[in-house]
Amino acid sequence: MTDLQIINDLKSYPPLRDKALGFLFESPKYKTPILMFLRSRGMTKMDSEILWTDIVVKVGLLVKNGKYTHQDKFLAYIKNLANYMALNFFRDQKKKGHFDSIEDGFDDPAIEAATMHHQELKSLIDEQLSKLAEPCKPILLLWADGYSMIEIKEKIKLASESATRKRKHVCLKKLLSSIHSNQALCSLLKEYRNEYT
Amino acid sequence: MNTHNTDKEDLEPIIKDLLYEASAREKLTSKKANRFSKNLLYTITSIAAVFLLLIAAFQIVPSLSSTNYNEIIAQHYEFPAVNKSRSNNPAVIDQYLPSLKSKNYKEVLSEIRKQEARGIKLSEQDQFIKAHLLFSTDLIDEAKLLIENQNWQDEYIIEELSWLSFLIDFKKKASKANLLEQQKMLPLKYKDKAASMLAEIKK
Repeated sequence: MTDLQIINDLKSYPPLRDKALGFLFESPKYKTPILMFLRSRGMTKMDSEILWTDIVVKVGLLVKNGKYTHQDKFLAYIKNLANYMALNFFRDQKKKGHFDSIEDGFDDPAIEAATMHHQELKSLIDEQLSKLAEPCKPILLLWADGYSMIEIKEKIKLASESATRKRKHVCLKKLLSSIHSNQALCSLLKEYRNEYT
Repeated sequence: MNTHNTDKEDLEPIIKDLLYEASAREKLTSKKANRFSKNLLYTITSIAAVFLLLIAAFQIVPSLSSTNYNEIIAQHYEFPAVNKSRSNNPAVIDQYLPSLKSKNYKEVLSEIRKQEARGIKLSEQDQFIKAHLLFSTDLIDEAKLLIENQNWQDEYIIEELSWLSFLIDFKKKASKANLLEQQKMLPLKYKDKAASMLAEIKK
Protein backbone atom coordinates (compact mmCIF):
# COMPACT_ATOMS: atom_id res chain seq x y z
CA MET A 1 0.00 0.00 0.00
CA THR A 2 1.24 3.49 -0.82
CA ASP A 3 1.05 6.39 1.64
CA LEU A 4 -1.83 7.86 -0.32
CA GLN A 5 -3.77 4.59 -0.33
CA ILE A 6 -3.35 4.29 3.43
CA ILE A 7 -4.55 7.85 3.95
CA ASN A 8 -7.55 7.43 1.65
CA ASP A 9 -8.53 4.16 3.34
CA LEU A 10 -8.14 5.69 6.81
CA LYS A 11 -10.64 8.32 5.74
CA SER A 12 -13.13 5.78 4.40
CA TYR A 13 -15.43 3.17 6.02
CA PRO A 14 -14.58 0.74 8.84
CA PRO A 15 -13.40 -2.40 6.97
CA LEU A 16 -11.04 -0.43 4.71
CA ARG A 17 -9.99 1.74 7.62
CA ASP A 18 -9.17 -1.32 9.75
CA LYS A 19 -7.18 -2.83 6.91
CA ALA A 20 -5.17 0.37 6.43
CA LEU A 21 -4.63 0.68 10.19
CA GLY A 22 -3.45 -2.94 10.36
CA PHE A 23 -1.09 -2.37 7.45
CA LEU A 24 0.34 0.77 9.02
CA PHE A 25 0.77 -1.08 12.32
CA GLU A 26 2.62 -4.04 10.77
CA SER A 27 4.60 -2.43 7.96
CA PRO A 28 8.34 -2.22 8.74
CA LYS A 29 8.51 0.86 6.54
CA TYR A 30 6.79 2.83 9.31
CA LYS A 31 7.22 0.63 12.36
CA THR A 32 11.00 0.13 12.27
CA PRO A 33 12.11 3.79 12.08
CA ILE A 34 9.59 4.83 14.73
CA LEU A 35 10.56 2.05 17.14
CA MET A 36 14.23 2.89 16.57
CA PHE A 37 13.47 6.52 17.22
CA LEU A 38 11.60 5.72 20.47
CA ARG A 39 14.38 3.41 21.65
CA SER A 40 16.94 6.13 20.90
CA ARG A 41 14.94 8.36 23.24
CA GLY A 42 15.57 5.93 26.08
CA MET A 43 12.30 4.03 25.96
CA THR A 44 12.21 0.30 26.75
CA LYS A 45 11.30 -2.20 24.04
CA MET A 46 7.96 -2.96 25.68
CA ASP A 47 7.06 0.73 26.17
CA SER A 48 8.04 1.46 22.57
CA GLU A 49 5.76 -1.33 21.32
CA ILE A 50 2.84 -0.06 23.42
CA LEU A 51 3.42 3.51 22.30
CA TRP A 52 3.65 2.39 18.65
CA THR A 53 0.10 1.03 18.98
CA ASP A 54 -1.07 4.37 20.38
CA ILE A 55 0.76 6.28 17.64
CA VAL A 56 -0.93 4.24 14.90
CA VAL A 57 -4.32 4.76 16.56
CA LYS A 58 -3.71 8.48 16.83
CA VAL A 59 -2.60 8.70 13.17
CA GLY A 60 -5.85 6.93 12.27
CA LEU A 61 -7.90 9.42 14.26
CA LEU A 62 -6.14 12.53 12.94
CA VAL A 63 -6.42 11.39 9.32
CA LYS A 64 -10.06 10.34 9.78
CA ASN A 65 -10.89 13.74 11.31
CA GLY A 66 -9.20 15.60 8.46
CA LYS A 67 -6.42 16.98 10.66
CA TYR A 68 -3.73 15.70 8.31
CA THR A 69 -2.99 17.21 4.94
CA HIS A 70 -0.98 14.94 2.71
CA GLN A 71 2.22 16.49 1.35
CA ASP A 72 4.18 13.31 0.58
CA LYS A 73 5.69 13.38 4.05
CA PHE A 74 3.58 10.76 5.80
CA LEU A 75 6.48 9.08 7.62
CA ALA A 76 7.84 12.45 8.76
CA TYR A 77 4.37 13.28 10.05
CA ILE A 78 4.20 9.99 11.99
CA LYS A 79 7.67 10.65 13.38
CA ASN A 80 6.59 14.11 14.50
CA LEU A 81 3.55 12.58 16.16
CA ALA A 82 5.81 9.97 17.80
CA ASN A 83 7.92 12.85 19.12
CA TYR A 84 4.89 14.42 20.81
CA MET A 85 3.61 11.07 22.08
CA ALA A 86 7.00 10.19 23.56
CA LEU A 87 7.23 13.57 25.25
CA ASN A 88 3.76 13.06 26.68
CA PHE A 89 4.72 9.54 27.77
CA PHE A 90 7.79 10.73 29.67
CA ARG A 91 5.85 13.60 31.27
CA ASP A 92 3.21 11.14 32.35
CA GLN A 93 5.81 8.75 33.74
CA LYS A 94 7.53 11.74 35.37
CA LYS A 95 10.82 10.52 33.96
CA LYS A 96 13.59 13.02 33.89
CA GLY A 97 16.86 12.70 32.09
CA HIS A 98 15.22 11.90 28.81
CA PHE A 99 14.21 14.60 26.41
CA ASP A 100 11.70 17.16 27.63
CA SER A 101 11.08 19.15 24.49
CA ILE A 102 10.35 18.39 20.86
CA GLU A 103 13.56 17.75 18.99
CA ASP A 104 14.06 17.03 15.28
CA GLY A 105 10.38 17.81 14.75
CA PHE A 106 8.17 20.67 13.81
CA ASP A 107 5.40 22.43 15.72
CA ASP A 108 1.99 21.06 14.90
CA PRO A 109 -0.82 22.50 17.06
CA ALA A 110 -3.25 19.75 15.97
CA ILE A 111 -0.87 16.99 17.01
CA GLU A 112 -0.01 18.84 20.19
CA ALA A 113 -3.68 19.14 21.14
CA ALA A 114 -4.45 15.54 20.18
CA THR A 115 -1.58 14.11 22.22
CA MET A 116 -1.52 16.47 25.20
CA HIS A 117 -3.62 14.38 27.60
CA HIS A 118 -3.32 11.09 25.74
CA GLN A 119 -2.11 8.78 28.52
CA GLU A 120 -4.52 10.19 31.08
CA LEU A 121 -7.56 10.08 28.81
CA LYS A 122 -6.67 6.60 27.59
CA SER A 123 -6.70 5.12 31.07
CA LEU A 124 -9.77 7.12 32.16
CA ILE A 125 -11.85 6.09 29.14
CA ASP A 126 -10.78 2.45 29.58
CA GLU A 127 -11.89 2.68 33.20
CA GLN A 128 -15.26 4.14 32.20
CA LEU A 129 -15.76 1.45 29.54
CA SER A 130 -15.02 -1.30 32.03
CA LYS A 131 -17.89 -0.03 34.18
CA LEU A 132 -20.41 -0.54 31.38
CA ALA A 133 -22.51 -3.68 31.35
CA GLU A 134 -22.60 -5.98 28.28
CA PRO A 135 -23.35 -5.35 25.45
CA CYS A 136 -22.84 -1.59 25.90
CA LYS A 137 -19.10 -1.64 25.32
CA PRO A 138 -19.16 -3.44 21.94
CA ILE A 139 -22.14 -1.36 20.78
CA LEU A 140 -20.40 1.91 21.59
CA LEU A 141 -17.08 0.80 20.12
CA LEU A 142 -18.76 -0.25 16.87
CA TRP A 143 -20.70 3.01 16.76
CA ALA A 144 -17.50 5.01 17.31
CA ASP A 145 -15.85 2.93 14.57
CA GLY A 146 -18.45 4.22 12.13
CA TYR A 147 -20.59 1.12 11.68
CA SER A 148 -24.24 1.69 10.80
CA MET A 149 -27.03 0.57 13.15
CA ILE A 150 -27.89 -2.33 10.80
CA GLU A 151 -24.27 -3.51 10.84
CA ILE A 152 -24.11 -3.23 14.64
CA LYS A 153 -27.42 -5.13 14.91
CA GLU A 154 -25.96 -7.97 12.85
CA LYS A 155 -22.65 -8.04 14.71
CA ILE A 156 -24.16 -7.97 18.20
CA LYS A 157 -27.18 -10.03 17.15
CA LEU A 158 -29.85 -7.67 18.41
CA ALA A 159 -33.54 -7.90 17.47
CA SER A 160 -33.92 -4.90 15.17
CA GLU A 161 -32.31 -1.71 13.92
CA SER A 162 -34.51 0.44 16.15
CA ALA A 163 -33.72 -1.74 19.18
CA THR A 164 -30.01 -1.31 18.39
CA ARG A 165 -30.41 2.45 18.06
CA LYS A 166 -32.28 2.57 21.38
CA ARG A 167 -29.66 0.38 23.04
CA LYS A 168 -26.84 2.58 21.75
CA HIS A 169 -28.65 5.67 22.98
CA VAL A 170 -29.11 4.20 26.48
CA CYS A 171 -25.50 3.02 26.59
CA LEU A 172 -24.11 6.37 25.51
CA LYS A 173 -26.33 8.13 28.04
CA LYS A 174 -24.98 5.85 30.77
CA LEU A 175 -21.40 6.50 29.71
CA LEU A 176 -21.90 10.27 29.56
CA SER A 177 -23.60 10.27 32.98
CA SER A 178 -20.76 8.25 34.42
CA ILE A 179 -18.23 10.68 32.90
CA HIS A 180 -20.14 13.67 34.22
CA SER A 181 -20.13 12.25 37.70
CA ASN A 182 -16.32 12.27 37.52
CA GLN A 183 -15.40 15.95 37.91
CA ALA A 184 -11.71 15.50 37.06
CA LEU A 185 -12.43 13.56 33.89
CA CYS A 186 -15.12 15.98 32.88
CA SER A 187 -12.89 19.03 33.13
CA LEU A 188 -10.05 17.17 31.39
CA LEU A 189 -12.38 16.33 28.52
CA LYS A 190 -13.54 19.92 28.26
CA GLU A 191 -9.94 21.12 28.16
CA TYR A 192 -9.15 18.51 25.52
CA ARG A 193 -12.21 19.50 23.48
CA ASN A 194 -11.30 23.21 23.59
CA GLU A 195 -7.74 22.52 22.48
CA TYR A 196 -8.48 19.85 19.91
CA THR A 197 -11.53 21.19 18.08
CA MET B 1 -30.53 21.19 33.66
CA ASN B 2 -30.23 22.53 30.13
CA THR B 3 -26.61 23.51 30.63
CA HIS B 4 -25.92 19.97 31.88
CA ASN B 5 -27.51 18.44 28.80
CA THR B 6 -25.68 20.82 26.47
CA ASP B 7 -22.44 19.85 28.17
CA LYS B 8 -23.21 16.21 27.56
CA GLU B 9 -23.96 16.85 23.90
CA ASP B 10 -20.83 18.96 23.51
CA LEU B 11 -18.69 16.16 24.85
CA GLU B 12 -20.23 13.53 22.61
CA PRO B 13 -17.88 14.03 19.57
CA ILE B 14 -14.83 13.90 21.85
CA ILE B 15 -16.15 10.78 23.58
CA LYS B 16 -16.76 9.24 20.17
CA ASP B 17 -13.14 9.94 19.19
CA LEU B 18 -11.89 8.41 22.42
CA LEU B 19 -14.10 5.38 21.88
CA TYR B 20 -12.78 5.09 18.34
CA GLU B 21 -9.24 5.11 19.75
CA ALA B 22 -10.16 2.46 22.33
CA SER B 23 -11.69 0.29 19.62
CA ALA B 24 -8.71 0.66 17.25
CA ARG B 25 -6.31 -0.06 20.11
CA GLU B 26 -8.24 -3.20 21.00
CA LYS B 27 -8.13 -4.42 17.39
CA LEU B 28 -4.41 -3.76 17.00
CA THR B 29 -3.63 -5.38 20.36
CA SER B 30 -5.60 -8.50 19.46
CA LYS B 31 -3.84 -8.54 16.07
CA LYS B 32 -0.54 -8.43 17.95
CA ALA B 33 -1.67 -11.19 20.32
CA ASN B 34 -2.77 -13.33 17.36
CA ARG B 35 0.54 -12.77 15.67
CA PHE B 36 2.32 -13.69 18.91
CA SER B 37 0.29 -16.88 19.35
CA LYS B 38 0.88 -17.76 15.68
CA ASN B 39 4.61 -17.21 16.15
CA LEU B 40 4.48 -19.25 19.35
CA LEU B 41 2.70 -22.04 17.50
CA TYR B 42 5.29 -21.97 14.71
CA THR B 43 8.10 -22.00 17.25
CA ILE B 44 6.61 -24.91 19.21
CA THR B 45 5.92 -26.86 15.99
CA SER B 46 9.46 -26.24 14.75
CA ILE B 47 10.99 -27.32 18.07
CA ALA B 48 8.79 -30.44 18.14
CA ALA B 49 9.78 -31.26 14.54
CA VAL B 50 13.48 -30.88 15.38
CA PHE B 51 13.04 -33.11 18.45
CA LEU B 52 11.24 -35.75 16.38
CA LEU B 53 14.00 -35.65 13.78
CA LEU B 54 16.64 -35.97 16.50
CA ILE B 55 14.80 -38.92 18.07
CA ALA B 56 14.46 -40.59 14.66
CA ALA B 57 18.12 -39.93 13.91
CA PHE B 58 19.21 -41.39 17.25
CA GLN B 59 17.16 -44.49 16.54
CA ILE B 60 18.44 -44.94 13.00
CA VAL B 61 22.09 -43.97 13.41
CA PRO B 62 23.09 -46.61 16.03
CA SER B 63 21.59 -49.39 13.92
CA LEU B 64 23.53 -48.09 10.93
CA SER B 65 26.82 -47.57 12.67
CA SER B 66 27.01 -50.45 15.13
CA THR B 67 26.24 -54.15 15.17
CA ASN B 68 23.15 -55.34 16.95
CA TYR B 69 24.54 -58.62 18.35
CA ASN B 70 21.28 -59.74 19.94
CA GLU B 71 19.43 -59.32 16.67
CA ILE B 72 22.01 -61.43 14.80
CA ILE B 73 21.83 -64.15 17.44
CA ALA B 74 18.03 -64.13 17.30
CA GLN B 75 18.26 -64.76 13.55
CA HIS B 76 20.53 -67.80 13.91
CA TYR B 77 19.90 -69.34 17.31
CA GLU B 78 17.19 -71.84 18.12
CA PHE B 79 16.58 -73.52 21.44
CA PRO B 80 17.45 -77.22 20.97
CA ALA B 81 14.51 -79.56 20.42
CA VAL B 82 13.99 -81.62 23.56
CA ASN B 83 12.31 -85.01 23.51
CA LYS B 84 11.36 -87.28 26.37
CA SER B 85 14.36 -89.20 27.63
CA ARG B 86 14.39 -92.91 26.74
CA SER B 87 16.93 -94.02 29.36
CA ASN B 88 15.99 -95.91 32.51
CA ASN B 89 16.66 -92.83 34.62
CA PRO B 90 14.23 -90.19 33.35
CA ALA B 91 15.73 -86.66 32.96
CA VAL B 92 14.47 -83.92 35.29
CA ILE B 93 13.74 -81.82 32.26
CA ASP B 94 11.13 -84.36 31.11
CA GLN B 95 8.67 -82.88 33.62
CA TYR B 96 8.88 -79.49 31.98
CA LEU B 97 8.57 -80.34 28.31
CA PRO B 98 5.25 -78.47 27.85
CA SER B 99 6.73 -75.32 29.46
CA LEU B 100 9.80 -75.64 27.26
CA LYS B 101 7.64 -75.96 24.17
CA SER B 102 5.81 -72.79 25.15
CA LYS B 103 9.21 -71.10 25.67
CA ASN B 104 8.70 -70.39 29.39
CA TYR B 105 12.46 -70.60 29.90
CA LYS B 106 12.59 -68.56 33.09
CA GLU B 107 9.96 -70.72 34.73
CA VAL B 108 11.73 -73.98 33.71
CA LEU B 109 15.08 -72.64 34.91
CA SER B 110 13.61 -71.73 38.27
CA GLU B 111 12.03 -75.20 38.59
CA ILE B 112 15.35 -76.87 37.76
CA ARG B 113 17.12 -74.75 40.36
CA LYS B 114 14.49 -75.82 42.92
CA GLN B 115 15.11 -79.47 42.05
CA GLU B 116 18.87 -78.95 42.45
CA ALA B 117 18.27 -77.27 45.80
CA ARG B 118 16.36 -80.35 46.93
CA GLY B 119 19.48 -82.41 46.13
CA ILE B 120 18.24 -83.95 42.93
CA LYS B 121 21.17 -84.63 40.62
CA LEU B 122 20.82 -83.35 37.07
CA SER B 123 21.75 -85.62 34.18
CA GLU B 124 24.14 -84.50 31.44
CA GLN B 125 21.11 -83.88 29.21
CA ASP B 126 19.55 -81.77 32.00
CA GLN B 127 22.77 -79.75 32.39
CA PHE B 128 22.91 -79.21 28.64
CA ILE B 129 19.36 -77.87 28.62
CA LYS B 130 20.12 -75.78 31.69
CA ALA B 131 23.06 -74.19 29.81
CA HIS B 132 20.66 -73.24 27.00
CA LEU B 133 18.09 -71.97 29.51
CA LEU B 134 20.76 -69.76 31.09
CA PHE B 135 21.77 -68.47 27.66
CA SER B 136 18.17 -67.83 26.65
CA THR B 137 17.48 -65.91 29.84
CA ASP B 138 20.59 -63.75 29.32
CA LEU B 139 22.56 -65.33 32.17
CA ILE B 140 25.48 -65.84 29.81
CA ASP B 141 28.26 -65.75 32.41
CA GLU B 142 26.57 -68.50 34.39
CA ALA B 143 26.02 -70.47 31.19
CA LYS B 144 29.70 -70.15 30.29
CA LEU B 145 30.72 -71.22 33.79
CA LEU B 146 28.45 -74.26 33.60
CA ILE B 147 29.89 -75.29 30.21
CA GLU B 148 33.48 -74.89 31.46
CA ASN B 149 33.05 -76.64 34.81
CA GLN B 150 31.11 -79.67 33.69
CA ASN B 151 32.90 -82.85 32.67
CA TRP B 152 30.92 -83.53 29.52
CA GLN B 153 30.95 -87.08 28.16
CA ASP B 154 28.43 -87.23 25.36
CA GLU B 155 30.09 -86.41 22.01
CA TYR B 156 26.89 -84.99 20.58
CA ILE B 157 26.46 -82.66 23.57
CA ILE B 158 30.12 -81.58 23.38
CA GLU B 159 29.65 -80.62 19.71
CA GLU B 160 26.43 -78.78 20.46
CA LEU B 161 28.07 -76.94 23.36
CA SER B 162 30.86 -75.67 21.09
CA TRP B 163 28.13 -73.85 19.17
CA LEU B 164 26.60 -72.51 22.38
CA SER B 165 30.06 -71.34 23.55
CA PHE B 166 30.49 -69.52 20.25
CA LEU B 167 27.11 -67.86 20.73
CA ILE B 168 28.00 -66.84 24.29
CA ASP B 169 31.26 -65.25 23.15
CA PHE B 170 29.48 -63.61 20.24
CA LYS B 171 26.95 -62.13 22.67
CA LYS B 172 29.81 -60.98 24.91
CA LYS B 173 31.24 -59.23 21.83
CA ALA B 174 34.50 -61.13 21.87
CA SER B 175 37.10 -60.07 19.31
CA LYS B 176 36.44 -61.09 15.73
CA ALA B 177 39.76 -62.99 15.63
CA ASN B 178 38.73 -65.03 18.67
CA LEU B 179 35.33 -65.77 17.18
CA LEU B 180 36.93 -66.75 13.86
CA GLU B 181 39.13 -69.25 15.71
CA GLN B 182 36.05 -70.72 17.38
CA GLN B 183 34.15 -70.82 14.09
CA LYS B 184 36.85 -73.04 12.58
CA MET B 185 36.37 -75.59 15.37
CA LEU B 186 32.58 -75.76 15.02
CA PRO B 187 30.78 -78.78 13.59
CA LEU B 188 30.00 -78.44 9.90
CA LYS B 189 26.29 -77.69 10.45
CA TYR B 190 27.16 -74.57 12.46
CA LYS B 191 30.17 -73.34 10.47
CA ASP B 192 28.14 -71.52 7.83
CA LYS B 193 25.79 -70.02 10.40
CA ALA B 194 28.76 -68.73 12.40
CA ALA B 195 30.44 -67.40 9.25
CA SER B 196 27.37 -65.41 8.25
CA MET B 197 27.07 -64.12 11.82
CA LEU B 198 30.67 -62.94 11.69
CA ALA B 199 30.08 -61.33 8.32
CA GLU B 200 27.33 -59.24 9.87
CA ILE B 201 29.69 -57.67 12.39
CA LYS B 202 30.30 -54.12 11.28
CA LYS B 203 33.76 -52.57 11.64
